[in-house]
Amino acid sequence: MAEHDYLKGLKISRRSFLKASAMGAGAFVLSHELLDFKSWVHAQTEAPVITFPTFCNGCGNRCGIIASVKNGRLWKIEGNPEANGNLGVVCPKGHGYLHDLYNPQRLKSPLKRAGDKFEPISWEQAYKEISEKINLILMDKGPQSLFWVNYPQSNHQYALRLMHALGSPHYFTHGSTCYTARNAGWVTTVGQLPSNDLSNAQYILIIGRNPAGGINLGQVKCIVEAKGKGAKLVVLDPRHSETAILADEWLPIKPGTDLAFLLGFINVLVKEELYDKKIVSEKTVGFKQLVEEIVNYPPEWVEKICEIPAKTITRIARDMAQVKPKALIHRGYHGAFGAQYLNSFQTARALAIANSLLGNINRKGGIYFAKSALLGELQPKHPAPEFPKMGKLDGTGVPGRYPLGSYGDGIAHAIPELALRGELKAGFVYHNNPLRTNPNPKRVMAGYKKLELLVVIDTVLSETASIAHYVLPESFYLERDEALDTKHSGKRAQVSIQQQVVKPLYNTRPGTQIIIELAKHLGVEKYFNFNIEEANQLRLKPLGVTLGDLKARGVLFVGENWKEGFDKLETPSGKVELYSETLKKLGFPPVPKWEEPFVSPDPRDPHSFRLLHGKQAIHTHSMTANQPYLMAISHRYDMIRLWMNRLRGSQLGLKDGDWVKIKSTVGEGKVRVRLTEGLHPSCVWLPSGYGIFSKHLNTAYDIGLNYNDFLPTYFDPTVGHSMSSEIVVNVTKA
Amino acid sequence: MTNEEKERFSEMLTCLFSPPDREMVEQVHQGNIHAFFQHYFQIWGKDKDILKGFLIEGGPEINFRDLEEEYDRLFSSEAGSGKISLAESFYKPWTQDPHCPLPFATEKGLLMGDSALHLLALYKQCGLELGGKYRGMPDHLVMELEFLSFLYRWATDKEIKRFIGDHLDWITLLREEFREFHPHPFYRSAMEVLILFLRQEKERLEVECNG
Repeated sequence: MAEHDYLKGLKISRRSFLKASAMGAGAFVLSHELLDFKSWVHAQTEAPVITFPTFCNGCGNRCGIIASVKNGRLWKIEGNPEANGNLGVVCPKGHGYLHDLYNPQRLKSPLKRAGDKFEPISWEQAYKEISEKINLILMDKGPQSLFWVNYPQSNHQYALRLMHALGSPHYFTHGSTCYTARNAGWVTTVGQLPSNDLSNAQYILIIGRNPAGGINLGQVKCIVEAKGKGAKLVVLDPRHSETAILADEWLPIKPGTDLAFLLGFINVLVKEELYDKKIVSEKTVGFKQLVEEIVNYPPEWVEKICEIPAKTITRIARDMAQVKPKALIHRGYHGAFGAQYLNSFQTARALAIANSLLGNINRKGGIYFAKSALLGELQPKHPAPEFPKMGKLDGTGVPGRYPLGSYGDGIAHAIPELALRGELKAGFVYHNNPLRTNPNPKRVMAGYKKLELLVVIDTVLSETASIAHYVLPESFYLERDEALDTKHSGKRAQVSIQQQVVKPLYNTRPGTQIIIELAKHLGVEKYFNFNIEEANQLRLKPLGVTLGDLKARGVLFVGENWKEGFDKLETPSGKVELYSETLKKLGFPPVPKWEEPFVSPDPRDPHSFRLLHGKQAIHTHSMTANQPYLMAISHRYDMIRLWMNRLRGSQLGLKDGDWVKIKSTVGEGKVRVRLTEGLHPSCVWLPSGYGIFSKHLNTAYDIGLNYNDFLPTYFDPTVGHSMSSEIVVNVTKA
Repeated sequence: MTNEEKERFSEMLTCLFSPPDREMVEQVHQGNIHAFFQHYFQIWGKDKDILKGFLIEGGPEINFRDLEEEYDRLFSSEAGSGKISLAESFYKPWTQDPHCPLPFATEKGLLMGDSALHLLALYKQCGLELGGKYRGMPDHLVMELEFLSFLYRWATDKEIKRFIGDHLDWITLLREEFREFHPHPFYRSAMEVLILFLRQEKERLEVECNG
C-alpha cells in the first residue's frame, strides 16, 4: 500500500485498545443471537439475579442492605431486615447514591496535579512519589507535621494505625463540626454516649435532633412504633422539622436557648420532687450542688429566655415524670447541641442530667447503653505501633486549650489554621471534603493550599480533591471488600461487613488496600503485613462466628443481650455526675448553669437573623448533591430555599420565592426565600448539602448556598467544636 | 474501498478520537492525515473543505499541546473533567430490561449500559479483551471503531451492517453534543469525517445486503 501517494509518509501505529485474550483473536464465529443487539438483550432478561449482603455508604449510618446483581451489573438494593440501624429499610439517599456507580464523572485512575489540571498516573508512580515527599517532610519537620482526616468509615482504625506507625498523633474525624460537644457532655456525666430506647418509651422529647430528616431510619421506625403504642412525641426545635411532622406537639424554641429550657425542666423536677429519688441517692453525685444552682431557673425565668411558656415547661416535666423511667429526652446528634453553640457542652450536660433525674439511664424505654461487639485485635500476630509521644497540636485533651476533646476525633477544622502556621505540612483526606464541610471555606482553602503535600482519596473530584497534589481513586462502595463494622449495635451487639457486589469498573482500589499499600511504600510495612481478609478473620475471632457466616448474612448478632440497670459508670465517681469535680478543676462550671450564645441577632434590626442549618432527608453533607435524582427532588419540591418566618419576611417586603442576599462577617450569597410559619422569627434556616463549588460536580455546581460560607472559624473552649449556629446574618431583598 | 482500506480507515478514525500523541500530531503536521482523507473524499466526490481542520499551522510541539488541551477539555474521562462523553451507553437508556427496578433503569447519561455489556460479550466471543485504558467503557467510541476495523478484516457485510446499525447509531447525537462546545477545527473535521464514513457505509451496506 505504501506505493500510493495518499499513503506516502503515513505512519500511524495501531492503538490496540482491544487485545487478543488467552483464547486468541481471529476465531470469528458470531451467532446471529449474539451479534443482534435486540436478540441479545432479550436473552439477557432471563439471566439469574444474585444477592449479596453489604452496607450502604450514602451517609454515615451504613445501613445494612441486600444488593442484587444481574449480568454483572447492579440490579437493586433493599434494606437488610436484620440490621439494627435501619430495620430493613433504605432511604432516598441510599437509592440516589447508587447513581454514582455508573456516573461518568467518577474518578477512574490515580491523578497527579500538573499545573491547574490533573494527569492520570499509575498506582505505583503515585505511591512512590507520595512516599518520597512524605519521607522528606517527616525528616525535615517531624511526624507531627503529618495528618489524616476522614469521615469515619469501618476501616478508620487502619488509618489511625498508619498515622501512629509514622509517629503522628494527627488522626482526625469530622467530629468537631458535628457531635463533639454532645459526646463530651454525655461522657462527662454518665461516662459514655448512650442510645435511645425509642420503641419502648411512653414519652419522647426531642430537642433539635431530626431523625426523620437527619436521617436515621431505625429511629424513625421506633418512634412510629412507640406512637402506635400510645407514646407522646414532643419536638422542641426552632423549625417545624420532618420529625416535628410526626410529633404530637411542636415547640418553636428560640435558637440557642435549649440549655435554659433544660434548666427550667430540671428546676420543675427538683422543686416538685418528681425525680427518681432512689436513683438520685444511689447512683448520682452532686445533687445538693445541682439544687443550689437550679433554683436560679424557675420556668417563669426560662420563659423569658427561650420563649416557651412556663406552664408548658412545667406540664412537660410533670407528664414525663408521670411515666418515668419510660420517658426520655433524645440523646441528640449534631442538632441542637452537637457542635452548635458556645453553650452546647453545658446543654448536653443538662440533657444527660435531666434524663438521669427521670431515672431512665440504662432502663427500658429510656436512655440505654447499647451492646457493642468487642472486636479482636491484630496483635500479637501483627504488632501495633507505639502510641505517638507528642500530643495533638490542635490542643485536643490539653488543659488550658480544649481539655474535653476526644483524641479519636481531634479538631479537624483546626487543620487549616495549623497549616497556615506551618505546623502541618502534609496530609491525607479520605472520604471527607473539608473545603465544603468546614467553616469559612476561604480560610480552609488557604490552609489546605499551604500544605506541601495534599493527598485526597475519593470517588469523585470534590472541592478538596480539586486542589490536591495527588488524588487516589477509591472503588465505589459496592465494588470493594472492607473492614468489619459494629455500627449496628443495639440491645444486642451486631457485627456487619461491607463486601464486593460488582467488579470494579475502573483502575480504583478499596480504601483499606490503599492504606496498606501506602504503609508499605512509606516503610512501615511491619505494621501492615496483612490483607483485609486476614484482618477481618482476626478481628472476628473472639466473637465466635465465622467470616463465611458473616459474608452470607451481612449482619450477625453476637454476645449477650442487653440488661436493665447499671452498677458502676465509667465516670471518675462511677456514678452519674450531676456535679463534676473534673470540670471544676478544668475551670468549667461543675454544674450546668445558664450561658448566653456567643452571638445573637440584633432584635432592633429587621434584617438581622441567626442562621441555622439542618439536613433534608435526601442529602448528606456534600456527597449527595451531585446525584441527579436527589437534586431533581430538590428542584421538584423547591427545597433549595432559605426558610424565614412569614411575618419577618413581610416586614422586609418579601414574597415567597423572592431572591434574598445573605451576608455575614465572612461571606455572602444569594438564595430564594421560603416564607413559613414553621420557623422561629429570630432565625433563618438553610438546608445543608448544597453550595457545591467543584466544577467537576456538574449536577450540583453553583446551586444553593451552604451555611459554612457564613460561619467564622470558631473553637468552643471545652472541646474546640465549630459552634456552627453562632452566625448572625444580614438578609435583604436581592 | 476494499475491506483492507476500510479497516485502515477505521483505524485512522480510532486514532483521531484517541488522546493525541506525538506520532499522530507529527502526521498531522506533515499533512499526511489530510492527504489520507483527501484521497477518499476525491473518490466519493465530497467537499474537501470538511478536511480543513487537519491542516494545522504552527510547530508540532504547539499543536501537540493545543490538541492535548482540547482533548482534555472535550473528552478526558480519567479526571472526570471532559464535557462530552464518548461512550455509547451515555446516549441511550441504561437498560432495556423491562424488569429492572433501579431508579435510573431507563435513564440516559450513565456508563455500562446494555450496549457496553453487549460489546463485552462480542469481544469475548471474538477472543478479544479490553486494554486497561478503557476499562469500564467497552462501548467507548475508540473501542467501537477499533472493533469495526476488526470486523472489516474478519466479518461479512451483513455482520458489519448489524454492528454499525446497532452500535454506531448514536454518532449523530454525539455530533449535536459536540457542536455545543465549539471544538477545535481538528475535532470538527474528525467528527465530520466519521459521520460521512458511517453514512457512506450504511448506504452501501443497505444496497449490498438487501440487493
